[in-house]
Amino acid sequence: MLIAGVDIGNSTTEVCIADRREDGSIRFLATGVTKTTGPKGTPGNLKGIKEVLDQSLGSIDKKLSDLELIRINEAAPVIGDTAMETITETIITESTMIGHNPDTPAGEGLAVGTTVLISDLDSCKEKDIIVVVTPDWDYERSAVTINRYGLNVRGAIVKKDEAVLIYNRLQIKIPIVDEILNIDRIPLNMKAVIEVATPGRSIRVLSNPYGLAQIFTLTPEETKHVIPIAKSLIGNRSAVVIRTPKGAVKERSIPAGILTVWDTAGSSTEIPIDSGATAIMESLAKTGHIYNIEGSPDSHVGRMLERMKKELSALSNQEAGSLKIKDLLAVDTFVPMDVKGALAGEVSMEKAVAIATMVKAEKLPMEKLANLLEHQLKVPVKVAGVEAVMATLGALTTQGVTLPLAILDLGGGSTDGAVLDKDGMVTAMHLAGAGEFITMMIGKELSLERNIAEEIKMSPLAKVESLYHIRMENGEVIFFPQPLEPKFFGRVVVVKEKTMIPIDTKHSMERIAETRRRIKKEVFVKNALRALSMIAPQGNLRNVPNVVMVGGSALDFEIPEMVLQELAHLKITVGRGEIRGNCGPRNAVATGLVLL
Amino acid sequence: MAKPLIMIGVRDADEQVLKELLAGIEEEQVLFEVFTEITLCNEYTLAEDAAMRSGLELGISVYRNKILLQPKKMVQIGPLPLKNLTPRQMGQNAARFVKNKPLIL
Repeated sequence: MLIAGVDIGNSTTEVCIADRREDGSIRFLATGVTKTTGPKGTPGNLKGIKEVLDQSLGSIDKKLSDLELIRINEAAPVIGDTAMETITETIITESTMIGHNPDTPAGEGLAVGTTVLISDLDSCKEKDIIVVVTPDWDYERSAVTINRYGLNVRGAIVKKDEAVLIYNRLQIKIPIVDEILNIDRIPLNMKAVIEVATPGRSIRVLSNPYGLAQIFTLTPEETKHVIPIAKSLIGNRSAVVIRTPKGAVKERSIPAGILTVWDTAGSSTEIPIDSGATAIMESLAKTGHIYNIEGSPDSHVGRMLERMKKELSALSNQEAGSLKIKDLLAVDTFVPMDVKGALAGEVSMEKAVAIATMVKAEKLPMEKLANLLEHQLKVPVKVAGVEAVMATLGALTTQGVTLPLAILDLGGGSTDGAVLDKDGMVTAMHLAGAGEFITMMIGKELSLERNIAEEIKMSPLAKVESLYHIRMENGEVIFFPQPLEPKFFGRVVVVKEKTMIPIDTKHSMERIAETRRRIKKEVFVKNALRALSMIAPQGNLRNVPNVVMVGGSALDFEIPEMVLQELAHLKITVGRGEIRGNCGPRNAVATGLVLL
Repeated sequence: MAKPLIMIGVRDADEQVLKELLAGIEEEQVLFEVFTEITLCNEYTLAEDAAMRSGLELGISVYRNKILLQPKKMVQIGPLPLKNLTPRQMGQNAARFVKNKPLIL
């Protein structure tokens, strides 16, 4: 009897096809995987299911009509979502304008003076001038003009990428900052200061609040307000700060907000978001069974949770008001925020908390889906078994495991844990935060689009070092017989099996790799520990003798090793699943459905 | 040992084009040397000749208003396939190439 197990997940649909003989023995014939079409548990899934069934049956020369039974899983009715919010929002008002970090500034040192347009130099009587060079002035004419004013010109701000060209033609050398995109926004006749560091160093005065206080004669109160300016300039080779005395420094802070966690017993705990991710997760761990989580209204976190509920209600077809957040994973991070008053699109790294949430929907309409499927494929379809039970059954086919067996399903939308004890009882947990959350955080932290963030998550990096070779992040060097295309030169690339993808960023390979690894650890190592301590008999991790990692993220090139390293010292056998000895960590649920 | 310079071979060069090319290299703070060729050569052999003489292993030819960037290691293959760039950008790219910085494309 030919039967198929179909596992509809948040991101992939997997099948397992087997021949079940009279004597109960089972011969596995084919497996398949495809992207899930539509939100899981909805009629949209049919397309993907049919596709992957056709494909896997085709590989063994069978047709849909040869199937005698299809089993689909009772999908866990959990849906996850992710968001990120800064803890405080600090706005540098128009009363201060800053700019920094062109690739090639010129000169070195500090220059203080009054901003004057280069075309107005003739009528200017100032002793100390910072000249503003508009793009209609080319480097030769600019240099000749500045030379005429000699000692009075202390520094220059240039729109075009011509700092070195002007500098090389000056008789008296001054620091010059170029590539100032919004040069038309520079206020004239205002006090400005330019700093350019020597090669290999970063600026020291403008990135120091007291340095700014000295230059602009600030009071202690005012000095406090220039901290964001100094902070956003840290690590730069050059910078310009212009301060207009008019208008007070306005600093607007939207409260980060408070999380209220309700447990099933009806008591609640309040956690301020700005206490950071560690404190949030500690409080959550103490809460026990979570009934719902709410954010204070009119705060960052409140708006964030509202937004998530809206998205989740669209996905689950339930009213936003009736949705309860059952789990939350908070991770500390830094995100680049646009600096107000920026002259060239500068960003400042602000402390933020990234949050993944999980809601429990009502039971997904799997029976309805099964009927539709049966009608369309003309094959009997049964809804069989809870997802977690099926996954543990499938995981049991991994060589070297014994009961009680725990699985960690590292998925795209959620991290699930389940333990199957010797009596066949299963305890399961669904946690917020998984592969999608990692992609979002990589993208936000490095200011990259989702697609490239996803690639960074999945493959190692390399730096293109010459026409013919790249150096991988582990130091290995790979040579190419043909020269690489110009788009790769000098870039950090993601190295896939057959192709490379250049990353359009100024971040170094080390920085990107460090970010990727840290985020993966924060999400999956933390969630693995959380899940296991929730499902472990008597809440003791040591009562789980072996853990099998399954799911799409268990295929990752470094996540399973990270989890293993963390759990190994607890004397737990943990590793990536080898479902049926040859499927790797994939296909556990589909296999379980066939075995049932 | 050849000096650490980008070598630029010039034949019947458009003055404005050459000037802009040099400005691009100068802005990126890389040294260069210009030589004039009057013997029979085309823009490709001129660029190759420049590449062989460059200590930075990059030669440039400027023939009328046409610029080619020729890495020494690619002499058998041909100049860098760069299109639709201004002479200034070609100069910046030449400098960025020897610094192993991403190019303007």
